[in-house]
Amino acid sequence: MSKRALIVDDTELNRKLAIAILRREGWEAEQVACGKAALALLREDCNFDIVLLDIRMPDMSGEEVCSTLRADPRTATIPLIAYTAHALEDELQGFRDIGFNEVLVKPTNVEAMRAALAKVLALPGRPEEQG
Amino acid sequence: MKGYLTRLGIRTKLVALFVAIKVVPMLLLALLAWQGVTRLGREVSDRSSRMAGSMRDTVGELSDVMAKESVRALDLKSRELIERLTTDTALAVAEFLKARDNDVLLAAALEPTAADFERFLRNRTRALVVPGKWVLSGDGKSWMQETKQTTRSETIEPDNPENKLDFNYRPPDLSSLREERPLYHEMTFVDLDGLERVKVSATGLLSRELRNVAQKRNTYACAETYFEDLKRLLPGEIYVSDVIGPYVRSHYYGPVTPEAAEQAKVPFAPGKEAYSGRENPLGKRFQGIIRWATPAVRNGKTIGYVTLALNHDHVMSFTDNLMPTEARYTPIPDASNGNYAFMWDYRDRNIAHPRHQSIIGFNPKTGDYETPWLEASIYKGWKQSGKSLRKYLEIVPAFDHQSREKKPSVELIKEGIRGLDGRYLNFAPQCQGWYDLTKQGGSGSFAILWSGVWKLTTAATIPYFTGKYGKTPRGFGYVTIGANVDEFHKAATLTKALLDTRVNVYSTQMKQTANDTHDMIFSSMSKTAWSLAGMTTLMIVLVILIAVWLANMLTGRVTMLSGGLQKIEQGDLSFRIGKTSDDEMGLLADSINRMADSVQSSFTHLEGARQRAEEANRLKSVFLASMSHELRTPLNGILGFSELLKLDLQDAEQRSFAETIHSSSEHLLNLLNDLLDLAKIEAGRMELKPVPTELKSLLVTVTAVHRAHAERKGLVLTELYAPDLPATLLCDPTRLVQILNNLLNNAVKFTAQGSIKLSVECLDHALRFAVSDTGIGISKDQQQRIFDKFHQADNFLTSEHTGTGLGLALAREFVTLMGGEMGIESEPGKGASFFFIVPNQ
Repeated sequence: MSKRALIVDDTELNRKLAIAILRREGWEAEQVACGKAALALLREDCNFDIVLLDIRMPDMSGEEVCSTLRADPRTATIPLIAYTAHALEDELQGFRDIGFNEVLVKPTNVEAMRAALAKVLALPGRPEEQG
Repeated sequence: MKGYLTRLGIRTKLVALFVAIKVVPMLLLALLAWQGVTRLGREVSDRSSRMAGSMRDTVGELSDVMAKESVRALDLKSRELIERLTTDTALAVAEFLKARDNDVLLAAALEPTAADFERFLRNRTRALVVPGKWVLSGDGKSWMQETKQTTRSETIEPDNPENKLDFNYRPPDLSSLREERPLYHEMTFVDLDGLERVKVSATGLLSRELRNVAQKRNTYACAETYFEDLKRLLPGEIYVSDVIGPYVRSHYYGPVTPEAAEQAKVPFAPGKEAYSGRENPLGKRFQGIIRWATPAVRNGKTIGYVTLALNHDHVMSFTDNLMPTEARYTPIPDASNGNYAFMWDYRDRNIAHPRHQSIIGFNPKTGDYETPWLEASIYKGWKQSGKSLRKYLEIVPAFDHQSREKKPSVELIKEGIRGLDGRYLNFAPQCQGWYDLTKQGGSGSFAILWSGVWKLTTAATIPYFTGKYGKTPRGFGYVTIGANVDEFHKAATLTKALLDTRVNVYSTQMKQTANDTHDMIFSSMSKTAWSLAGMTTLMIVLVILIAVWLANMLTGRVTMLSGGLQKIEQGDLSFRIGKTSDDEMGLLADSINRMADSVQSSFTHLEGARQRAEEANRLKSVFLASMSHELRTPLNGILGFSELLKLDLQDAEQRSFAETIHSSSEHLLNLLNDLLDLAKIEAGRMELKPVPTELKSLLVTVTAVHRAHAERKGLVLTELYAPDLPATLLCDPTRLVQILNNLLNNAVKFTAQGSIKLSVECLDHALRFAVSDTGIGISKDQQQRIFDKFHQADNFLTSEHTGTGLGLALAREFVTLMGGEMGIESEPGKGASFFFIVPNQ
């Protein structure tokens, strides 16, 4: 059974690239274009192996989405990767502090995506492996 | 010390300065003044006491010398006077005796009848001093005249004032005590058989009977032998006898008093002892005669002899009343005072003496001379010999070693016999002296120590040479006068004593004056010292007070200024110092206020500028961040899809297109990353995150990528690490990798052929990384600019070399942030070596 990934990004190009890479890697990938949509979807279905979450989005920021998800018990353990163009060091650490499991800096490439995914999947206590 | 000094406040320093420049000199001055005063005082005191001492000494010496000289002069003068007195006396005696020659010659011409003889004698008198009546004094220790002598003691003043100086009047001497006495005891006419035919007695001393004088026992004291001599006389020749009289004894040698009698263990009977002048005025007198005789010639035939028996008292009177002192004459001689005169005959036998027991006399029982006072050894020898004295003395030398060491015979003293015969008086050496002076008929003097007193003793020959007296140059004998030497120079001694007293008084006064001066000087010195000390103290206190006041004033204002400055410094830029004066301090306050004004306005400006700069910086950061963000989004698409194309395209040409797109966008991304880093560094927001880093694995990872690149270009990448390379290095590994990547990347990029070397050396607490290549090298002026931003080698555009132009600048910034430094060693065409040194703490 292939892994499922959700891409949350307001930019279509980014969504397309991520999906292209993920699918090329054998993942199932779904996409939403804003934070609210992501939250709505995830409340319904939190069965994603990974969520790539853009930070700068018009309706609500990736940080807000992350915090909301982490605050909700149903979504608290969803592996979150910050998918951002913020490349400054301190910014990257900040994401981890508020609940992201990993950061994937744009522009990305196949190598980086693979590494990030592998890192997150290797995390202990993932729900799939528990259940 | 320096530190301590710098910590002292200005006030302390000012006070210290005042003390140093005012108080210290003042103290020094005071000290100098005190020393000066002290020295002066000591000097004056010393000198005055030295002066006093030397004056005292000088005056004392002067008085000594004067006294000594005076004594000597007076002694000499006195000697001269006494010698003259002696010779005069001797001459007078001789004249007197000579007159007797004339008497006897005249008498010889007289008819030998009692009437003529009486007439002859009647006028032959001479005045003698009568001592008067004497009684024992109340205490029984001395004799005194019964009735006081009524000597006229009136003085006579000169009538003529011109004679007033040293007018010295002397009342008549002894004239009132003189009484006329017959010169002769008797006058006789002796026939050729020795029978006295006519005899006239004037005194009754001698027998009035007409006797045969050829018989010795019929003569005076049974001692006269003159008839034998008369028979040998030629007409006109004169016979003169020795002094003849019975010896008078005395058990005393000094005043005859009951006390002395007790000591001598004899009954006190002055009348039975010899007359001794003042020592025993009631004693038995020596009654002597000197007999003159000459033949009575009638018609050329000697019909008999006329004799005259001179009363020896008249001869004795020449010396008895003589005083070798100011008194000149005495009514009664006194042997005890040491000033008296004697007479001795030509055989050194005493014939006149204040003590009549000293006069040699006869023993009327034997008609022979009484034993004289012999020296103990002679007496002893005589007694042992068993001979008669006359016989014994014939073998005893005269003047035999006379010395004061010898002693008189005690036995004779007990008998009361003290007749003086100088020849055997061996305990009295002066006898020999007198003999020496008179043996040639001369005179003179010498000093003797007798009875514990120095005496001058004189002797003068009595130049009377009639009869047997003409046999020796000594004539009749000699007069001696003894005088206390002290008497001569009594005046000088008195003067000396007076002078000494005066000198003592004077020196005491001088000493007192010196002491007073000394006390005065020291009290004055002490006063000076106190006032000096007082003034100095007062001035020191004043100076210190002034110093404190000045210092307070100064430091108060300085403190005010510094307080103001401190307020301004602490940020109260609106604070201004109140101006209290128009002096330098006021000017300083003005300056500070102006400075504060200018600082305040500068601050205002600066604050604005800073805020603007901060705003600009923030905007820049925001701009950079959003730029980065906005650029990354399209880059994400380009990079991502070109990679996917690259991976998925089958057509080689199409795939190379995709690769070109991909590498171009990678370059763009690197440029973007470098720009962001630089921006962060410039904004001061770049922070390193040092962690212990495993150096070896870091180096392996870094070199792996570049080795692949190098080998692709046909280059060799060598590594040379120091053997003592530390295992871990505390550093920011990301940035260290970034630096090394940059250098290695450049080296590979700019090296066409040859090799690239990475070396790491250990320095002292630092590591030196170096990347060397065999590339084109870099010229000197290029080296200056190579670390500038956006700088690239000249051939950047014309070669295949591409770069952001920020890499080296960034690398150097990182090295600087790490606390190290970066540099280059290169020459064009000979490759380049970039190195950097980072500390290894």
